[in-house]
Order: sequence, then C-alpha cells, then structure tokens
Amino acid sequence: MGENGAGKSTLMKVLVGELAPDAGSVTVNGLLGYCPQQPVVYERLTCDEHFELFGHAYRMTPAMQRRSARDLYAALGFERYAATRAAQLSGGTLAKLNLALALLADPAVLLLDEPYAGFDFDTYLKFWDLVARRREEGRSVLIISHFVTDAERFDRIVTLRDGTAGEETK
Amino acid sequence: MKRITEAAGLAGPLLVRRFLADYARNPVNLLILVLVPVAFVAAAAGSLAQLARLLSGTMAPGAAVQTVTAGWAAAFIAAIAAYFQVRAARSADRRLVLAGLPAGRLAGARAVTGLALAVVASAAAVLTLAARTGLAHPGRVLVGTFMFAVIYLAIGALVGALVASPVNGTVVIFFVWITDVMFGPVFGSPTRPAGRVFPTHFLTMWMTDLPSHHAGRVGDLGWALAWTLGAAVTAWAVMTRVTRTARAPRRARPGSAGDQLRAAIRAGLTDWGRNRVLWVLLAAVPAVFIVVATALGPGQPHPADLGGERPPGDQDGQPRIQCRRPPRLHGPDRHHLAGGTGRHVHHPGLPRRRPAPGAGR
Repeated sequence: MGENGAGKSTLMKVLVGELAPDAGSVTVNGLLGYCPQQPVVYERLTCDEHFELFGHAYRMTPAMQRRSARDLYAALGFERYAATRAAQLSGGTLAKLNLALALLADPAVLLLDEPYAGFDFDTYLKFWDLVARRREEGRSVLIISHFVTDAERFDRIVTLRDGTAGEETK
Repeated sequence: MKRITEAAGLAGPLLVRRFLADYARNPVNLLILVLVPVAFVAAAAGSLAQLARLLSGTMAPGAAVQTVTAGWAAAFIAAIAAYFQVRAARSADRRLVLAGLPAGRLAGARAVTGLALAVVASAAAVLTLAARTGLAHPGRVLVGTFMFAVIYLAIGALVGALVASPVNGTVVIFFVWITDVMFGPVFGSPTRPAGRVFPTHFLTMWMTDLPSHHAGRVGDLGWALAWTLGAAVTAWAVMTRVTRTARAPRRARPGSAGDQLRAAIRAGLTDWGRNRVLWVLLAAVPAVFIVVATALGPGQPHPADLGGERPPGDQDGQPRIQCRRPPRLHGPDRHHLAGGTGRHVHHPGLPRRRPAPGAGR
C-alpha cells in the first residue's frame, strides 16, 4: 500500500524483471503470475487466442490451458467474450482478461498491481474468492493498492514510502 | 513432461500465426502493405529511371533501373511494417516473455512474421513490375526484391527498438531509405568505394547487373547476401534485446579504474548535453560554412590558361582551356596550378598580378 509515486508499481516491475534494479538482486524460483496495472494485451486478438498464446508461454499443454481458461471464464464471468477481440472489450472485461492471464498457469506466486480497479462489486467479490482459494492452496498473492478497504482479507499490509518499505500495520 | 516440451516446441508456428492475425486484422495494415509497392512501381518506376539517367548518366539500362524500384518499394514498406510490429506489441511481447516464453523464440517468431510480410510486399511490387515492363530475369528480380525487404526489416526493427514516437520513427526510416536510394549507385556513382556503406549498394549493383569494381573476390552478390544475412541476424538480436527480462547492470568495483572512467565519461556527457548553445553550434557551424561557401564561391566553371604555345593568329589575350596529357604538364604549368606567380592563371573578378621577372621559365 502507498500513495501515488511511492514506488509500488516500480517495485513490482523490478520483482517480475520488467525493470532492472538500481541495487540488489531478485531471485525467482518457479513460476510468477504478473498482472500489470494497465491491461497489456494484443488489441486484435480474442480472449481465447490470448489464453492459447500465454498457455504456450507458461509451457502448459493445450488441455491444461483450455481447462484453466474455462475455469477462469466461469470464475470471473466473462465466458461470452471468449471470441471477442481485446480492443472491443469494455474496460471491466479487459481488466478481467488482464487478471486471468496472470492466473492462467496457477503460479505459486501472484503479483497483482491494482487488479480490481475496473471491477464492479460483484466481480470484486469473485476476485477475492479466487484469491482466498489460492491462499488456502498455499499460494502467495501480493497485491498493490492505494488503500485497503477489507483489511481482514490480508495477512500482511506493508506501507511503501519513497520506494522504501515502512511500517507493517498487520 | 514430454507433452509440455511438445507444447513449447509448437509455440513458434502458433506465435507467427497469432502475430500475423494481429497484423492482418487491421485492414489499413494490409492495404498499405500491398498498395504502397503497387502504386510506387506503377507510377514512379519509369520517371525514376529517366531521372537516374539525367542525374547520373547511369550505365544501367532503364529497364534495370525500373527493376530496382520494386526493391525500393518492398524495402520501405517492410521497414515500416517491422517498425510498427516492434513498437505496437512491445509491452504485450514483454509480458509473454515475463510469463516464461524465451525472448529468443519470441524474436524469432517476430522475425518470421516480418519475413512473411516482406514476401507479401515483394510479391506486390514484383507483380506490378511484371505487368508494367515484364521481367527479363524473374529469378534475380524476385530474390533481389526479397533481399531488399529483409535488409529493411532489420532497419525497421532497429528503429523500432530506439525510437518510441511513430511519427519520428517513420521519418527516420524515410530518411535512411531516401539517403540509400538517392546516394546509391543508380542516382550516384556506382564505382565510388564510399557507396559501400549504404545497405543496398551491392544489392542494387547485382540487380542492375553492373559490376561495382570494388566488391573484391566476394563479388556484388556475395556482399549483398552478407548484408541480407547480417540484417536478419541484427533484427533477431535487436528484438531479443528489447523483449528480454531486465537484469541488474553489472557494476565495476567502486573506486576501480573502470568505475572512475565510466563516472567521468557520464559526468562529461551530462555536462556537455546540458550546454544547449553547444548543441546549436554543432549543427549551425558546419551548415553556415557550407551555405556561405556555396553562396559566395564561384558558381560556374571558369577557364584557366596554363600558358604554352598559342595557335598562330591568336592575339586576343583571352584565356584558353587546354587539354594536356600528364607527361606534357611541365614544371611551370604545375607552378601556376599551385597558385604560384599567377602569370597565366587568372580567375575572372580577381585582379591580374604582374608577373615577377623570370617567373615561370
């Protein structure tokens, strides 16, 4: 958690390898799922084609990828947009696709940058269901946000100021 | 595990298919890819061949010059296609790499996609050329045009990696292309060794079937192939570089000679870069010299009399242009040419100097 410009997104970009750190190092052991703050997709590819492409990137078999995509469509409620191009999706549905691409391979660590900014309340609750299920299965989820409304959903809340981790409120 | 490996192996063709779909689903992309080469060859090939003959007196026949226009058209549009591929999908491509796709494989898929677009652009240009003038050497035209496109794919990818703004990127590509065309062997001198630095110099020589005389044992075709292969490898390396995961820069040991040298260069460049006047002067000083020299220097060729025997009856005292073989240029003549006494060398508009006694004898 942190104010605008505190360095939250920069920290996450360094963790996933999108930015090089000025100092220190990041060791990644296993698979990371990364959901950037702004949806990063191919505008003219459909949701299904995105899942297929990212399934290959995650080295999933076609069957695994299709099963996981089906579950995510159902969990986030956007299966009817499976054949719709990303550029034609509404902001909320695009945010769902953006999040689903990070969840596709069910990685051990999920890094989500403001993942629910464009969600309606119903989708917001579905999102927390997904997170809770992964937490129960022993996965780690790191969420970046300006503020925290449901503090009980988090195990730890760390405030970032000027790029430095400050107090831990939980 | 085996199934996962197989899935990873299939990623290449799938990536290419998806990238091509992403490109082709924008109808403007396809229109430009085909329309620009067709319009360029159909409308400009004949005029450019005439212009080349007027400007440089090129030894290549007009049909051969028109053949090269197919390469020029395919090259430009291939560069533009590669630029927009690299720029537009850069974030999404990086996300795929962050998800685990090897950057080299992604770059390979992008390069293959670019080659497929180059084939389309080349085919459009060659078919138009065939309809316009016919093809004397179809194999050479097809291969040459495709090689033009591959070389410019790399240029487009390189510009895409360095220039973020589409307007600036397009202008940079156009600048490279127009320089290559206008200073290349068709409009310029085909035999000058300085032409070797242009990306399609040897390829143009090969397509127009004119020897450059400076290709060495490799030959024009050999150098053209080397440029093409080098361009393809460069395009792949550039695309890999821009999409791969960021790593912490390797730092020299604090206080070491390398560390101090790097810090000094960095500080010097920063200081130099903040001196705006110096930036202006760097561009202005050479420009002023060139403009002033062009404006105030003699604009026309003028005669120089090197002395020697005059034809009988030539008494008007006007300078004469004389052509002599080098062995007949005697010491006194060279003296005049070097601006010695100026007894016979006279530039219009400058006062005649009185010759010194005995000078030039």
